Amino acid sequence: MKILVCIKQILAPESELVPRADGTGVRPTGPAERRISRYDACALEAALQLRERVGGRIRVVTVGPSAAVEALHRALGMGADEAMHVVAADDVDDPFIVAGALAPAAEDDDLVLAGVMSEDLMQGAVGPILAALLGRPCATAAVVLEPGPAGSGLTVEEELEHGERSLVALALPAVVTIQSGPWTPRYPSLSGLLKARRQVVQTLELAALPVPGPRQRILGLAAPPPIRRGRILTGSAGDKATQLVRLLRRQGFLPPEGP
Amino acid sequence: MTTPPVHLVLASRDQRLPAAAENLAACARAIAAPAAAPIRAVVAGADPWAAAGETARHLGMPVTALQIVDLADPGDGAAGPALADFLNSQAPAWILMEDTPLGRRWAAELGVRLAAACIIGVDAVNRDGAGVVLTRAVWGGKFRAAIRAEAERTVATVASGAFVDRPEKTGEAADVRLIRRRADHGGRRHLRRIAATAADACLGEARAIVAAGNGIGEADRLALVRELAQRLTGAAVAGSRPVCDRGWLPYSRQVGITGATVAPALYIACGISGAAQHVAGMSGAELVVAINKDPRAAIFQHADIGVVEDLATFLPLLIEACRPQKDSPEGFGTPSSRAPTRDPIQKAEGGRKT
Ligand SMILES: Cc1cc2nc3c(=O)[nH]c(=O)nc-3n(C[C@H](O)[C@H](O)[C@H](O)COP(=O)(O)OP(=O)(O)OC[C@H]3O[C@@H](n4cnc5c(N)ncnc54)[C@H](O)[C@@H]3O)c2cc1C
Ligand SMILES: Nc1ncnc2c1ncn2[C@@H]1O[C@H](COP(=O)(O)O)[C@@H](O)[C@H]1O
Repeated sequence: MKILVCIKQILAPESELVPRADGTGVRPTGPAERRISRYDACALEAALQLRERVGGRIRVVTVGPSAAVEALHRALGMGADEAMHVVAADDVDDPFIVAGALAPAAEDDDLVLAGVMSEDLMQGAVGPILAALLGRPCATAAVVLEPGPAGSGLTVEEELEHGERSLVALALPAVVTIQSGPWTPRYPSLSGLLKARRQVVQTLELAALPVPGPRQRILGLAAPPPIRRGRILTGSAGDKATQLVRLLRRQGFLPPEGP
Repeated sequence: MTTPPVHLVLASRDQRLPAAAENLAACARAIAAPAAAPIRAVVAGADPWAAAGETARHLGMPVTALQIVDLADPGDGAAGPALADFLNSQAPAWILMEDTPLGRRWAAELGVRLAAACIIGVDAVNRDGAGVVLTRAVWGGKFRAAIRAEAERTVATVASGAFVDRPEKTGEAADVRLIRRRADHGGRRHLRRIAATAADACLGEARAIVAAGNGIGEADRLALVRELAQRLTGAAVAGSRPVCDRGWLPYSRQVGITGATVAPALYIACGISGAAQHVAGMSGAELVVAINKDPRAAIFQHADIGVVEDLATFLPLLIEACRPQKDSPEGFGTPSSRAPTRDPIQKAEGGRKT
């Protein structure tokens, strides 16, 4: 089976991020770590497990700035066979541009895997848009992938709301987005990482591809208004614990004081 | 020239008013208001007639029932091409649907087929000099992005409950018409629905819930969360999705849109970032306490009491402070002086790995 895994490199959400002055995105206040978006690492893990069962090759692709090549190296280190980088000036927000850049790369693949959503933009749009552009069947938020006999198709358990699931059969070629769950992304081995650095990453320039213009624009980012009037406790850690306990006791969540 | 309509797209699974109808209608009114754009709805499904009638009666707007013959399941989505054809004939400027897995799949397909912008999870509508500005959550809820659609048409999914408002009947006689189309399965065959793992009954009964998030870092630290729950009266332990994915807690203890919805008197979120998918499952709690080392974590927006601390050090202090201690006068003898003498992790055995 020929599998294409779409991975996005994001600024690690653990780092301290603030909106950029021009309003288009966020920037880290300190040294920035970038990593593969969580669900995309799960998608790659799903691909690796599928390859272990039915054979084939895995190609990873990303659309992003030059730094994103690190994500491809890590994916190669985890076990992907080939990598492709569509180089953009910056992170790309518009899902039609991303999907438009990915579509030509996906033409020969039996299966395209993407994340259920990116951790930063959280759209869950790129996978289904890619499926529609390619005219292929699509399943989203997959938690089980079961290959059919002799590469005949794929049975997918996909998540709906409230923990409900549906079981669907997809004819190949198909596009599936991967939900977190049974797939714990493996760590790349050191030898894998060393080998990955020597591997050739195919590169294309986004600007040179015939992708459509943007259909939407981010005007600005801001912290959301609080839903509840949160009181932030102050003092030493011990003071905070005491204050919290006093409050919990007053509200009857702790047994009354002393025997 | 008439103003192009705002069109709602609803999926019907039964004879009743689709659950998203009022929320979508409220969002549509916010978009349509100044230009007085007409608002219409299409209800798609295997047998949408009754639901379409309910929609027309409730929302007081013209409704089309789009019956898809051969639909294996309303969640199947095989209505995409038929919806695209129908909507093309209506030439709407805005197309709104619920932000569900099916809604997102339809939105992507309609975005491609109608050359429309596709904006997911809209939770507010504003306006500036140049027109409509939509808002949606990004970065796990830490930020909200203001977005402008730049295409002639926009498909948007609307976050559940973001606009709910009372149904506004116009009093107009709203007509319902029926269109019948064949399903277009396009290589996707729905086999069956699988019921959700039942939520652990203790989550519904508990007066207090102590919830563990990814921030607990290691399975062993779950023992601290368990111990805190033991100290509290009538408390149960729950978790966010990553904690259940790792097998640290069973899925029956997961809180959120794909887990349980809980409404205890007290919810203590330990190392939970506050993503919308989690918050949706616990926003009904009366008192929310959040413990997180990141002062900007979105969970603090949803908390009544916030504690910015590292769980590894704070939970042992909190557990210690929970002991009945009639000897210690209020405000003195904080447990910080005692904590270092015991190893919280060794002491709290019983952190099970599943
Ligand atoms: C379709 C879909 C459905 C989903 N359904 C659900 C659902 O039902 N329930 C659910 O929970 N999620 C669900 N999710 C996932 C959700 O989007 C978030 O990814 C998830 O809730 C994050 O879990 P978390 O807050 O525990 O982890 P993270 O987002 O990783 O956050 C960990 C937090 O812990 C803090 N932290 C780290 N270390 C420490 C420390 N030592 N001390 C104190 N704080 C610390 C960090 O600052 C951070 O805020 C769903 C996602 C999708 C796409
Ligand atoms: N720039 C990108 N490069 C490669 N894949 C991407 C990119 N952006 C999004 N994707 C894929 O599309 C999924 C959903 O992203 P989104 O629609 O932004 O939530 C991600 O999990 C990735 O698999």
